[in-house]
Amino acid sequence: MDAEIRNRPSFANVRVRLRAGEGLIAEAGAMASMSPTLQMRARMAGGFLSAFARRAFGGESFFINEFATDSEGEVILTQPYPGDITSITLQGTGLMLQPGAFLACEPGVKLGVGWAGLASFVGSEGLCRLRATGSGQLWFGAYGGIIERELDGELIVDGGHLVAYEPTLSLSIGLAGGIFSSLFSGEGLITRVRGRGKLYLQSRALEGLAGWVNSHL
Amino acid sequence: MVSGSTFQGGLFSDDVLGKRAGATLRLGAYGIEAETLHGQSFSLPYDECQLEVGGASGRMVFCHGPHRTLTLFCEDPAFLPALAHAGHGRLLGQVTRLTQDARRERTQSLLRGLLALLVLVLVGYGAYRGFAYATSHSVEALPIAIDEQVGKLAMESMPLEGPKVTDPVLVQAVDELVSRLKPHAGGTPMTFEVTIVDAPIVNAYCLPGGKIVLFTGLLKAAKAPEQVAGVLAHEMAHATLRHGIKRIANSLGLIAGVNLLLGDTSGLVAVAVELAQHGLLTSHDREQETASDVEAVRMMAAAGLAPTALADFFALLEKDGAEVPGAIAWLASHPQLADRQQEIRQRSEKLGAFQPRALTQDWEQVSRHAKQPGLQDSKP
Repeated sequence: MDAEIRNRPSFANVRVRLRAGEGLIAEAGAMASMSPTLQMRARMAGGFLSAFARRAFGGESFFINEFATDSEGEVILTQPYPGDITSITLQGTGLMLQPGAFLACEPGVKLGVGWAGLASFVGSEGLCRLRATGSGQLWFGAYGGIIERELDGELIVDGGHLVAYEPTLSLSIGLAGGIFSSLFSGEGLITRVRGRGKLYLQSRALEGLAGWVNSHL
Repeated sequence: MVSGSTFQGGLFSDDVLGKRAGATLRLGAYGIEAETLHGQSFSLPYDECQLEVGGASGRMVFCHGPHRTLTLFCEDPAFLPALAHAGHGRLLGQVTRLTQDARRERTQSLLRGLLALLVLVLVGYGAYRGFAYATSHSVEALPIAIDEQVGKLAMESMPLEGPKVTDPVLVQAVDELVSRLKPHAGGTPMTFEVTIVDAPIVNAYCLPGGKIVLFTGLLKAAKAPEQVAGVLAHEMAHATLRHGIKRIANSLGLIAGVNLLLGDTSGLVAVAVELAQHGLLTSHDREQETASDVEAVRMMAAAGLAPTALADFFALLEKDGAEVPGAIAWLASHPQLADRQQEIRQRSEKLGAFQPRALTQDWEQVSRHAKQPGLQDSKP
């Protein structure tokens, strides 16, 4: 399998070339074009309960698309909003993805849902996260550019900017400052990330854009 | 005995490509042995192991080596208990401390969560009560003309359940009762208008502004005109206490409610029509029913009518409810009759003696006409 992320960072898309016998799993609706030699099959990821959990709590689709070929072909995958796409290779490790970030993965990657906690929900980061484990390449996208950070300590992230993080990191929600500062600084609630591991941030937050547009309506 | 157990986890090390990898962890006799998917092996002696619990789930166990050059981690719930017994209990002290810390943290989290929930409920309840109080009091400031407008619209929106009765015997009998009670109605003076409807329903209701609907079923069921007067006084009290309009104000959405506080009544009228169409405008809560009973007792005594007549009517329905056709309508919209009877009688006793003034109507004739509106009485 060859994969290339193109048109970065604003309108990134992934072109994946599959050879005979290879497969690819992608988020429903992510396919922009595909070779006629590829077969696409929609299926529930990991059975009904897992797919339901992915849809209800992970912010992803109930179905995923599985691409396969007997010869060779290519598929181009995109995300619904403008922004960058990146990929990592899981080697028995895991990655927690914010709702809507998942784009595609190799069949060796297992997709599940991990509980993020009530604090995360209060911080507008969702009740659950998509949890990718296993081995293989994984693609995910963001709104705006993607900032990769190797953390060994603590980092404060503004709400809506966290895209993905390794499960070795712990998250807690807090106020950006005192109550006055939090209300009037425009930062509100922040996410405090602690521990050792890698995290991925997006340079823009969709909520920020929605708020800005709303203020002009 | 635990030595040899294996768990799926991972490791951080500069010696691994990408500095992290998934690994199989095995609790050996002297330390934790780790092997990555690519076959690289690592070992962390128990004596050099610093344990920590954390990660996204809060249940991931980290085993740090000296200077954190090697960190092994595992999320398997059996890993920490197994570490306690590994290497002849060399990590037992650390495991015990972590277990106690985790238990304390869980308890604190639970308490924080419960406290947050309690605060949320209290704030929500306070906001609801505050909003209801503000809208209810803003209603007091509205002119009675609004009640009359809402009542008129509601009357037009509601089906009457039967034909209007114009029988002069019934109309005059009800008019006499209303005329007797009207001078003693509290609050801002309003025009009471009673529509008698021919239907076997033992009920009456009052719309905002004083529009009362009385069914012939109730006139048939009543054993004395004072009982009907008691019901009419109760319904008139709903209007003078402005229960209908307060009910609508409490049903307003936030925006319409805020508009009402600012004096815009368009939302109020829209909700009134909506509630009237669903038959919800004429049902009142227990607090409003009690307030109307109390006011009815005062009005009846002031009008020279026995204030306990309303309680007598309740007792009649309660006793013979199953035999009185249509009584279910009254029982459904006026619950907890026994308690209310007791309260009416207690209030009447507190009022003391009143100056009874007899009614002029022939109740037997009224009852006959209630059974058959428009009946031609034979001349004596």
